[in-house]
Amino acid sequence: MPPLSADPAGDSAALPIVGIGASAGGLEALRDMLAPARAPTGMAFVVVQHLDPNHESMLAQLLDRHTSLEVLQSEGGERLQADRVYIIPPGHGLAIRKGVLHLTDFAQPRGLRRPIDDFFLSLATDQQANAACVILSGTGADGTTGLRAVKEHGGVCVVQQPETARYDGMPLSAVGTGLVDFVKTPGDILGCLTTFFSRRSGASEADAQEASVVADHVDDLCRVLRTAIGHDFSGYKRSTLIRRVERRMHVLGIETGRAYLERVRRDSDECEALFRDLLINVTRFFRDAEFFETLRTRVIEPLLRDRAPDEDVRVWIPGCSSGEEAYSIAMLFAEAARTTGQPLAVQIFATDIDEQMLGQAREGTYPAAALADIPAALRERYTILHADRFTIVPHIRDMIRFSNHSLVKDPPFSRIDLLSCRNLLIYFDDRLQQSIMPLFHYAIRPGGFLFLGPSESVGRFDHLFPPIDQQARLFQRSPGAPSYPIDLPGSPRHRTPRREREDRGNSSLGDESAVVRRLVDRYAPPALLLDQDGGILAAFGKLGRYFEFPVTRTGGSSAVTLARPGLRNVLGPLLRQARDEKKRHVARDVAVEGDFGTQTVEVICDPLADGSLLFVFRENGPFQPAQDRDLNDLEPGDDHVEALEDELRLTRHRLRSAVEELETANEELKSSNEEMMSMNEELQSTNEELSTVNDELKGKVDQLTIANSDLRNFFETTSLAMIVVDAELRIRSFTEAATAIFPLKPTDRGRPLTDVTTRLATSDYLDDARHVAAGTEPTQRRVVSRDGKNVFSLRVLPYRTPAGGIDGATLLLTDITEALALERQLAAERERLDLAVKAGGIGVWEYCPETGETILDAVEHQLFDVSGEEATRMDDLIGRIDEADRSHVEEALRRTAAGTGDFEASFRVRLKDGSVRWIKGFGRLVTDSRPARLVGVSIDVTPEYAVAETRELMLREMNHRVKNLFAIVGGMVTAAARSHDDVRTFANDLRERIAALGRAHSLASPTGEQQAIDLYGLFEATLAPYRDHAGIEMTGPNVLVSRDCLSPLALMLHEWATNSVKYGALGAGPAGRLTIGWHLEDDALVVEWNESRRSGTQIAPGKGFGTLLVDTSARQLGASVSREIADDHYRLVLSLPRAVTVDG
Amino acid sequence: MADRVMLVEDELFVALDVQMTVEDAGLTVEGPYTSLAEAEAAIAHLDPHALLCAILDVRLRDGEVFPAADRLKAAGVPIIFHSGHADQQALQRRYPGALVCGKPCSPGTLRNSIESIAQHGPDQHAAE
Repeated sequence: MPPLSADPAGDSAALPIVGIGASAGGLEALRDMLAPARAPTGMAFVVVQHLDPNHESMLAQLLDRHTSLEVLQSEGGERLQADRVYIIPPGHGLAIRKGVLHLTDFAQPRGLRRPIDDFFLSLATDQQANAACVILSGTGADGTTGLRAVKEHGGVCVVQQPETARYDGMPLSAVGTGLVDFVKTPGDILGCLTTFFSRRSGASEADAQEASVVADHVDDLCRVLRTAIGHDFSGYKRSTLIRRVERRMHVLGIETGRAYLERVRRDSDECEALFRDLLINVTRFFRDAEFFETLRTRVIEPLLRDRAPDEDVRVWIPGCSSGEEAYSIAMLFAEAARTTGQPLAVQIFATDIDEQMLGQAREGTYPAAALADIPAALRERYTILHADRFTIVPHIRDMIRFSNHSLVKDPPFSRIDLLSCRNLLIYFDDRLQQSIMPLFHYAIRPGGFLFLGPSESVGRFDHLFPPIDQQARLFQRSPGAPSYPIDLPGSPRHRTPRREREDRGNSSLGDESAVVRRLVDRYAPPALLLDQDGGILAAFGKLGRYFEFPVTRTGGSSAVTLARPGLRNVLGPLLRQARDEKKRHVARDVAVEGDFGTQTVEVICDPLADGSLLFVFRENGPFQPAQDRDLNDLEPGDDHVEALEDELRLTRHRLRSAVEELETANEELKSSNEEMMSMNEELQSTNEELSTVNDELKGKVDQLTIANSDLRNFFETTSLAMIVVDAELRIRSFTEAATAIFPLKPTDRGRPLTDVTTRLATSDYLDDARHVAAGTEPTQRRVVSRDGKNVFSLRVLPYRTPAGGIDGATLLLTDITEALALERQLAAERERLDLAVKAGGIGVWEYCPETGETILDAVEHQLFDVSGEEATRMDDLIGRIDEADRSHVEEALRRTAAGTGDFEASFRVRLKDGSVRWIKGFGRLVTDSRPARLVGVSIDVTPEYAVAETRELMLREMNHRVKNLFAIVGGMVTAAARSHDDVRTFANDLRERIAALGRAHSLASPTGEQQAIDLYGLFEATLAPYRDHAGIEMTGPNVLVSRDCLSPLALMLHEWATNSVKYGALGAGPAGRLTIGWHLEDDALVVEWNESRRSGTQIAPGKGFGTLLVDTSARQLGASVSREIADDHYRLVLSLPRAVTVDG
Repeated sequence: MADRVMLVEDELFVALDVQMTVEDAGLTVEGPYTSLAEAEAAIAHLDPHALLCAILDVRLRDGEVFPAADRLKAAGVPIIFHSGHADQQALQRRYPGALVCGKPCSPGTLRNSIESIAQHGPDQHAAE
């Protein structure tokens, strides 16, 4: 169980980074993919698109319009943040280190660049399981290699569904690796990634427990896989196994290890998928190129040089995957052989357990993108490019045998000169690694070489493999007998009986081979093992009689060339027949001519399973010594055949050089083509961008067309006279209305304005236009037409270019004749109105309910008795209003401000001197005013209120007086009733008294204001009925008495007058005399009543109703009455308190 | 037994009339007092228990009668307002239980008011 910190789930809290690779057709796919993105996605996106390095890219702007995520073109140095999309800039590659983007320079020439692969590789190593890669539309195969890296480090890989891609090259190539997790339409990719990462982070929260649950099932999974696939992973590193199993679970959305185990058991496809995932490793041509260089100088060249003449160099590459490494080594050998002129006697065994990978390897075709890994010299010589893929040339291909072989469970190869096993051991756990080393020791011949991956070592077996170059991980097998590792790492668990039998056989191989060897050497007929071209692979027994040895360099190891005459012409056909028909063939009675005679033999050719051919030579006749050694005429046929074959060789040689020349030419063409293709690719991207931009421009042109037509319509229909001139005052355009002032024709465009006649009286406008066009402020002036009938407002404005500069001027003429007339009329009306307002003492106010501000005119100031600051706030004005009226004024204002009615209110205003003023206000909301505004007037209505008050007061007074009179009359009736027996006299008396009261009261002012009565008038009115009875004389100063005295005085005078009629002067006819005099004393008003007395009448004061009336009246007045009765006259003195008089 | 009726009235002819009405009912008139000053001076030395009731004019020459009315009310003397202009409701709000006879008032009405006080007594009347 690895420590948890090594578990990729441990840093899953980190931001997942999605690398997106796209090329031709990519813009559309990117748009579709990113359009549904809604922050927060919790992911960062890096887009690597093939771009033309010479063309500025608009990709960022184009994408930005279609996604809610922030899109920016990388400038290098950005730390990746969630919900942002980073776009590769043109002319650079991208790499990511510690979550920061870096721009890189391309090492390869244009055409061989693989920016997507490069970025994915750095993404995989930097982000491990946090990496995701997406491959979208594009031709070629960029991204395929990077994808493997992402997968190897535990990332996830999504590919656009090839059918939905405009160019399906890149998606198809990616899908072809068999390593893709999801194949989706662009629109679904984002959702798929979100689900994947959320599932993973969800799983990481379940944390160690979950991991251990998966770990619990690893053994079971290995068992299931061994049963189903036949390969045992139990020796592989646990951490890697768990990580990759978990990854499969996330892809499938399976939560528990148990469920996944069930799925694998049930589903053979998933079993296969897991198997593939477990086997993912990255391989490429010349991976770690510098180590390959070491390999070349330290191993390959020496091996070829020191090769035993009859032995091939044997190379074994276990875990070859898709074959890149095998081909790399093959190329190195071929190149070394070519440069040193040595024969290419090399056999390479490349093995793997993954049949699918082996299939790819056998095919020997790779994405053109991988070409960049191959050194240029080798590339040209050993590869053939077809469109977007290349193949390895056949003679390299033929050096290698790919076969299915398990390092773990199958017996190893032997006598190996070079064993290259790179980046395979890292997947094995310690135990398995330790058991592999002795196996390697066995396989490699003493002095042979072992080439491991950069992070692998021989562990504790350094005594078996002393290092040659520790850094390159190049080791040499120590001398010493190999001990065959009987206990194959995987063998104890072998199940197939066949394997078991083989194992048993192997166990006794050491003894058996000696026996067989002896049998072959001594007792069997001589035999020769040939390859399909007749090359000698092995020889058994004594063959000197049939072949000429030693082999010369030039002849190579061809058996046909070496065969002695007689055998030579048989061997070729026999070999071809047996090879083609794969059946045993025999050639009987072949006479082989040796140096010493002729031997008849039977040649049997037996094709073996691996394609090699076994030739057995059985003597079937006695040896016939040469009869005449000087006679050579038996060989004409031989010479002929030999000549033919020489000719054939020559022809072949020529053919080969022709072919080679052709291939070179072809090669050059291909590389040109290649470059064209990639440029085409870039151009395609650029073209897509341009066509998108073009679409947008088209939209803008449409908008401009509409705007232009709007403008034209405006020009033609507006009543505004407008002329646009350029800096030289040449007419640029004008409106229809302008022709009324300037007789312009359409052909006048371009003519100087100075040349155009005008109906205006002056030509000031030319100067204005000149100045404004030169950059001065806009001008405005009033101009009159020549006939004086029209007045225009002329505004000259600068004509501004979109850049902000001034290029000419715009002349705007507005006919303001009517407006001016209207203005004058308005001014006159306003004057009248002002006059009216002034005359009416009307105050005008404005009020803004929102701010509470008010504006008052002078009259209003005076009405409210306010000044300065306090006149600008409604609150202060309200404060002026009498408390009793405040609330209804405020309410009325509110209603008006709300628009429910006009303002009308009467209220009292307390002035500063304490007096009160009645004001009536009217107001109304100004429509269409923002903010809302109330305007109104106020009038002083204090006089009206005063009059009304007076009237009311008077009415109350009158009412009181009337009631008082009634009360008095009532009282008199009561009192009189007591002293009268006769109703008639009673009524008469009463009538007289009431009449006197009435006369007196007619003196009281009807207005009620007058509180004083002229004493003279009172006397005269009261005595008026007796005016003609006698001479009445009244003397006294002008005295006014209180109105309160009216009734008592009148009653008293009436009493006295009636008495006088009965007994005194008034009844005496013309001779009677009555004198009334009055004068003021210090504290009294004294009235004297003197009358001449008639003789014989007697006066009986103190009795009767009359006396009661007089007494009561005197008491009421607070007066005293004295009487003097003489013979001839009667005198009454009434002394009133001074208080009854009123100052006039 | 209270058999005196206090009369405050500045119009002497009216006072005469009321006095006659009161005396016809067999009661004695205290007054008439023609001003607020006189009335207040009289209340100061009158025994309220001797008063059956008080007939008050509201507006007097030297002011309104209310200070005197307040003192009578405090002393528990039933009040009959005899006024030509006073607001009857305002008076009754201020002097609950008081009777108001608008001027001019027929002697019968006045007599009935006095009699009702005489019959029910001041306490019952106040409770009405």
